[in-house]
Amino acid sequence: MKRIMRVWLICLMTVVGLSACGMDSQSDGDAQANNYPNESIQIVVPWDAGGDTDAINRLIAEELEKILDADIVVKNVAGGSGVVGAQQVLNANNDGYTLLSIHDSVAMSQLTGQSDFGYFDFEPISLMTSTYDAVATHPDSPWDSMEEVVKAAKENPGEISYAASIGSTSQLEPALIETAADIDFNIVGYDGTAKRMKAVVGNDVDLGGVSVIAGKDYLENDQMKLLGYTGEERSEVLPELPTLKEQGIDAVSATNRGLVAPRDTPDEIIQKLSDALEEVANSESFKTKMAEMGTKVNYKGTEEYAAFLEKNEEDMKNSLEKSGLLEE
Amino acid sequence: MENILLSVETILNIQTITILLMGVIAGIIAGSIPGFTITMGVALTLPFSFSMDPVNGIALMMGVQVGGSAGGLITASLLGIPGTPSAMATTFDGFPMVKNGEPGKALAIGLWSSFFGSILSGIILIFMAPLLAKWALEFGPWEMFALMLFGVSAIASLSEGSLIKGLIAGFLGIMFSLVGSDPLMGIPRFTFGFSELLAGFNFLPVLIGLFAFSQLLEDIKNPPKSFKIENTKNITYPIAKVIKDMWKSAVNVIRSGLIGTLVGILPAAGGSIANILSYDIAKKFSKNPSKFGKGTKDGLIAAESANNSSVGGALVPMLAFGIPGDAVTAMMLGALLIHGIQPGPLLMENQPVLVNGVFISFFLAAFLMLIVQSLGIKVFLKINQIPFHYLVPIVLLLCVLGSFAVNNRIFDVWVLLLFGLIGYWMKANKFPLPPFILGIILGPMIESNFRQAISLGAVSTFFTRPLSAVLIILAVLSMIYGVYSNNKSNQQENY
Repeated sequence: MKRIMRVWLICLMTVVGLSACGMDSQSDGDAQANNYPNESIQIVVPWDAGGDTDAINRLIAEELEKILDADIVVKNVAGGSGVVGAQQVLNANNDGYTLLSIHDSVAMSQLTGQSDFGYFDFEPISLMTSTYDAVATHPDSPWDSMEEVVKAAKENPGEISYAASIGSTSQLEPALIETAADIDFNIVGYDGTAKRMKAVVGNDVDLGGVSVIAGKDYLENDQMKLLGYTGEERSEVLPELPTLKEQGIDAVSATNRGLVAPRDTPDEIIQKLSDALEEVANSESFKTKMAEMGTKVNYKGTEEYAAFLEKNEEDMKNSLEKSGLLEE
Repeated sequence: MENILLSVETILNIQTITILLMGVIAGIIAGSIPGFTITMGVALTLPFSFSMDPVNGIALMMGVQVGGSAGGLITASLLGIPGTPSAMATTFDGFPMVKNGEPGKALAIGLWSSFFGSILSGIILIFMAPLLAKWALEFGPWEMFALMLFGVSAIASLSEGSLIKGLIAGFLGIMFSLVGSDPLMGIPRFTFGFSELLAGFNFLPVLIGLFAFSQLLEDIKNPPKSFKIENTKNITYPIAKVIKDMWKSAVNVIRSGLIGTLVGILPAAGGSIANILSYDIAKKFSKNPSKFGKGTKDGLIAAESANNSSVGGALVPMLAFGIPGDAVTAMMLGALLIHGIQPGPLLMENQPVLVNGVFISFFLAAFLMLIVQSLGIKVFLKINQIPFHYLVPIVLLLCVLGSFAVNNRIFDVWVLLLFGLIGYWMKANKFPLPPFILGIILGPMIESNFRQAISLGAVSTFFTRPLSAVLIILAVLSMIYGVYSNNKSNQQENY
């Protein structure tokens, strides 16, 4: 009996210890914007270390550190298509020392019912970059352009498979094309970019989105055919690749990465951060790195970003509604 | 050839070797502490790698990964707690060997198996990377599903005693793996309103909860007389004897190394599956399967050479296609991305110096790992001399810290506690733990590959694709054999 008691005692002690860890020290609510920042700033990246979003944010952090003269810590909290990390910032102190890196998945998760919060449960700071994709297929597939894909899809609705990571922007891409061209794909879920790419290269699936930089290499190595670019205009990396719009599909699909803060973070702090981020976006080294990654620097200040998010959410809603993915 | 020489020049300088050495030491530490994984060790080195040139940055991460895959064996053997998920099967024979009074032998054999596993996969990597990468592309969802089915067949041989209890444990593991967002559609399942559960139970707190926490609870209830090894004669084990042992089991070493490499190449499979699969296959091929789980060197060799060789395997798709084979190679690709190197199918062509640098640092890391651990064995053995009442709280603290560090949240510590209690209950009622873990690892992969497969074509595709058909037949045979030999060993024990 004594032994069992000891087991429970250990459990109890752990529980008590844990709840002590859980109590965050309350930091001063009215942080003075004047001497902001005077401690290290945390950027929560709600995705795994090593991905595109992580890389871009680490590069932003590196530049921001120099401009604000403060330590910037990138913290990865992955899971649930970005919901888990975002939730953490949602409940964080609004003193400007915890920021969240976001992209379109925030609205996507809300609209598809995976989360109960969206863009406007945060304070937008700035939009930083926009990344467009190339629609790729295996070299053995019969189509050489999106026009041919659309034609084939009209003849055999729901036959052509399209790899997508559900809940992320790669799911929005086929959905947008479906609505714009009035066709039906067989959208197959793959968790993560790596598995999606493997499915296209291995000819498991008919179509899939790839980054233009990676796509260029696969194209040169004869492992993929690229059919269309999801940007508004042609890409500088692959100028010979026509956009979807040029091929009669009125769809633009991008991953728009920006930074937001918890609700009611003081305006002065937001302004300070937004100005600093503008400097980051204009710095030569950041521009070069982004160009190397095939990403467009697309800075928008706070107000402009808020308007952008509103429109972005509206567009997404329409497209998801048409393709039946919207949570009723 | 010119490229190789150029790369040798880039790698063989004091700076890079020092970086590699530090990586290896950091890896051994991260790998040996229960609750800290190799992936976490590599993630910690990621920011440092940004300020280095790409070859050094990759060398640092490589050191951590190779060191970590071998470091897991220290705690796995000495305490019976896997220091890292990929050392789970190492506990099956490593720990009994230590309890039999041969801790030096357990560490030495584990270490040399890790070394040979690394070297073997390194050689395969250098000579066959493009070929193997092409082979890996043959693995669509159909083949992956069949392979996972093969993994399930290991449940029978991992169920000591009751097969029924083993199957129940495996089933429960799969059930727990269903918690979280549906892997393909993203719809939350069994999350009971906890947004923390959207990504499911994190594997690490589940594993250390089941193995470490439950073990500690039991140790408190029934304190082992002592972890101290009475027979100090066997503390050290001469190298000549290790080499002889390895030579006698050469077939096992090579087979396990091959299994590890091949599993490593397949996307998302990785060290933990390699470790268990190879153990299971070694047991099935062994003339004395009844000795497995009681401290046989062959079990240890199979487990340790496979998890280390999977590291080399994971590099194959990364170098050949720019597609990561596991979480660590994904981070290596991230580091390259920061340096403006886009990993893709042309990496080997465009960055020959870097790619050869990866090869060379992989080999160097294996040698450094061997040297550091050989020198460290005596120190590691001191773990067993730490009085029990100090050791338990220390390990417990490390488990809690590690669980917290996975995602920087307290929630995962509660998960640790929950699974600690589940593990304790299972042990008390003689349910084997390994099938449960196997269920948790394989469950999501079986599900997503099966669902991808059926949404891409008819069910008959499983049998019309030759590779998939062969794997399914093998899996079924392996299941039948597993049940048969489990029955046989039960009968023997009854007499």
